[in-house]
Amino acid sequence: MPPDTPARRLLAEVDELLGHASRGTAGLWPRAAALLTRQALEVALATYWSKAAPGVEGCSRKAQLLCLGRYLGDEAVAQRAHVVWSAPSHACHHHVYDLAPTREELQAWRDAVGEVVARTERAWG
Amino acid sequence: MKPAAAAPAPAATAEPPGAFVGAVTVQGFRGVGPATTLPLHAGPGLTLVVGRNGSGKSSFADGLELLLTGDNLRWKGRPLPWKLGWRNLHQADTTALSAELVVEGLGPLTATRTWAAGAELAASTAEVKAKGRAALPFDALPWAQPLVTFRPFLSYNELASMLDEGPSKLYDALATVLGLDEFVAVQQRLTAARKVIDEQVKAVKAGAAALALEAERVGAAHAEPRAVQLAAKLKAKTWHLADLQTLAEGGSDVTREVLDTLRRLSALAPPSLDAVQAAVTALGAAAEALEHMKGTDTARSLARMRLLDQAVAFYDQHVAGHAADAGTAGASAPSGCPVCGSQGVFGAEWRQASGLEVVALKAEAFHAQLVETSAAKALSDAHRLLREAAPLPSPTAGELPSLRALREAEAHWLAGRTLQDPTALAAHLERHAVEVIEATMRVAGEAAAELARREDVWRPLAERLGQWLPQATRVAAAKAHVDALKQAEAWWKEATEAIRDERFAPIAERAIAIWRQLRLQSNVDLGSVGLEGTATKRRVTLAVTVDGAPAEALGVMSQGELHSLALSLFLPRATLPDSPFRFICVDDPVQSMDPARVEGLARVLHDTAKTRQVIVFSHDDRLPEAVRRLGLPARILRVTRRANSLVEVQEARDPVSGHLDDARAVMKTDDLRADVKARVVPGFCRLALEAACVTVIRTRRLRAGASHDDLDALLAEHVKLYPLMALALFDDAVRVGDVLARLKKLADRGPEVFKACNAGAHESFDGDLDGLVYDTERLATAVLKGTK
Repeated sequence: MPPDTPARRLLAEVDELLGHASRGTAGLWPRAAALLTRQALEVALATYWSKAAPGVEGCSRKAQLLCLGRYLGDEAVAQRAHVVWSAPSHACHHHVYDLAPTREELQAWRDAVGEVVARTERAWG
Repeated sequence: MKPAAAAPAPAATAEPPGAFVGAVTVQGFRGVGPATTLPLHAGPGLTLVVGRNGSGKSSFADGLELLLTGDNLRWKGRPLPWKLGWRNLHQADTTALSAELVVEGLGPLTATRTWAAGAELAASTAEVKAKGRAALPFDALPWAQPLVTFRPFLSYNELASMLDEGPSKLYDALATVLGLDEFVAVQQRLTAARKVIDEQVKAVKAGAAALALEAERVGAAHAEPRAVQLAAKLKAKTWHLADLQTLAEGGSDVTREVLDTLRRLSALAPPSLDAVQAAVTALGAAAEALEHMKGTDTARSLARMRLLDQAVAFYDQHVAGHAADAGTAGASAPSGCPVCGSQGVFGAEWRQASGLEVVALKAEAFHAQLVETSAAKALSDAHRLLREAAPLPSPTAGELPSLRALREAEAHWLAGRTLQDPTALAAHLERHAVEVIEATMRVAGEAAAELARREDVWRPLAERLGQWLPQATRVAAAKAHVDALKQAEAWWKEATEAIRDERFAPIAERAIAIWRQLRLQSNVDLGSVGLEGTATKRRVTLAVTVDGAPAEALGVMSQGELHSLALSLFLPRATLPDSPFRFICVDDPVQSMDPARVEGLARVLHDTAKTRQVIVFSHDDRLPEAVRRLGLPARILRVTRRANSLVEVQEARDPVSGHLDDARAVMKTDDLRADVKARVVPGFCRLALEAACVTVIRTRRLRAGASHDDLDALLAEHVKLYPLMALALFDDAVRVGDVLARLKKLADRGPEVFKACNAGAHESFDGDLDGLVYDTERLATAVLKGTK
């Protein structure tokens, strides 16, 4: 049974937005999902740093991601974390020509974040 | 000769009642699962339907096209998998397309096309229904041809391929709208008629050549003059059909002579051998009799007879009667001879004796006369035989050799004319008769054979000539026709081309105008567009110049330029007054355009939208951004696809309002928990502020003349809110420190809102969300206004 962490709760919300087309979230769900996905990653990272290397969470996101690989001992996950942070981030900012992400893109990001979350949670010990 | 019936003028130049498209509803088709409606306004104006690839937006474009045409050009000719995927994955049982069509003068109609579960793509039921009336089959609308001719669906792929498909295809695509079909039909008829005659002429010429060849061969092989003549006449540049007719019937005078001669010769009758024989016999008998007679002195006897006869007559008259008168009976003494006077003789005794002698002499004389007469007759008969030799033609060069022999034989024969002696004549006859007879018969036979041979040789030629002549005569009559037809063809072609150019001119003008708007900085200019050529050589000429130098259009243009060119050519066609469609559906025209050209496109679409309903499908926000920034009125619909192919269509406002609307929607909905709302709402608020900043920055810089590329680079560099706001407020990304101070002046709680939005995007906001949204709106509005 996966632990009920804030990060996972956020991902569960994303799953809801993606998997369940409710009327009340019509139109806004892509950006909402992107926001939540990125926040899930941020929360997971913050929790990890607070446990593994307190203080790092105050550094820039770039620095955090650079360190993550070393600390986790897993460069691949860190890479994925980087990708999956910048893409939703992009969606969370207003860019002149871009439209909101598609469900498929959001799903991919969510899955990648889920991986990072699981990995960092495992590392807590 | 002008064509008998000129083609009628094209159908009414007045505009046919036009159709606009209202709401389009798609169900179970491609990306769309549950029934979703694209709420279009049936009237002139610009509508942009925006959505990522796979969002379902193209399903509406394809759906509308499929609904109206029963087909989709995008799929035509594609392999099977394309066609198989036309139903939606999540809802494959019911597929239905419908659209509201508003036709001027008819009012609203609803068109539907449905497929039963499991049905093939081609097996749909299409209907059209007006309110309060029964449904009619869709084909009741007379749109099948206009949909092809005016094609109100312009898709990127299709347009790009238009230019690749070949000059004649492009020509056809543009020329179909010009209503020239009837002209072309007439042209074809003229050409066909002329070709028919040309074929006939060719056939006759070929026939003549073959016949001439044969005639020449025959003439050379057999020295048949008619054949030689035939060959000569057929080879001549122009044929004298009258002469040829004569030849067919019997030939010219020259040849007739030859043939007549031959005929005469073949009819030569030699002297009958029997006749000759008879003559010879008669001559022989006559000669014999004459020979007999030679011993007698015929003349003396004859004279003596006459004398005696007279003497007897004298005696009878003068002496015998006198004696009787004297009455002396008895022996009257003979009187004296009346001639010599001697007495004692001229008496009855003498009378008796002389009487007998006279009789005998007369008989002799008679016999002699007979012999002479028959001898004369025999001679004359024989001479007649000689004379009966037929007159022969004077010697000619090519005459039969036997004729010469005959001539000689006749010469010999005729030499007998001088002979009077029966014996000699008989001998002559005997000697030469056979020769003559044989020679004559030989000549006759040869002549007859020659005639027959010539006939045999000539007959096939004559027959062929007889068959060829009527054709040649017909063709000669038709030839005059051909010239007239050629003239008509040329004239008609000119006229058609003139009319074509005239009708095409407005389209060409518009195409060039549109191109000018689209090309912007490109150094490729389109000088003129024209349709040229006919039949296999028809093509569209594009007078393209690069920096003033003429160039080959398709060679110098980039993909994007080619696409713009295609759009320039086909947009006018789709919006012609003759088209019954007042809408056009443009699928992804922005695909390969750089931002500068997108502006041109926006203006072109705007101009078109003044009189037409322009529906544009786009996969990113470039066109909406340009339209908004340029202040062009347009409706923007956003399409997104969620789970189970549920497609959402939302009317989009400007980005600032859009994000704020989203924020408010988040607040309102029950589908999200409070803590989620607290995380999400600030994010939307930040988006709204960013949008406001970006709008301000872009408007300001572009108006000042910055290039799109530079601007895009700038905005790519500064993504965060602080630099953006600095740029928006001060046009300087460095002055981040002054932002908060300025914001304080701009709006109540400006800095707080700003900071809250900035931070809240990353974490939960624990303040008043409603207030945040409200304050964000005011700040954003202030930012937007503050720089006007």
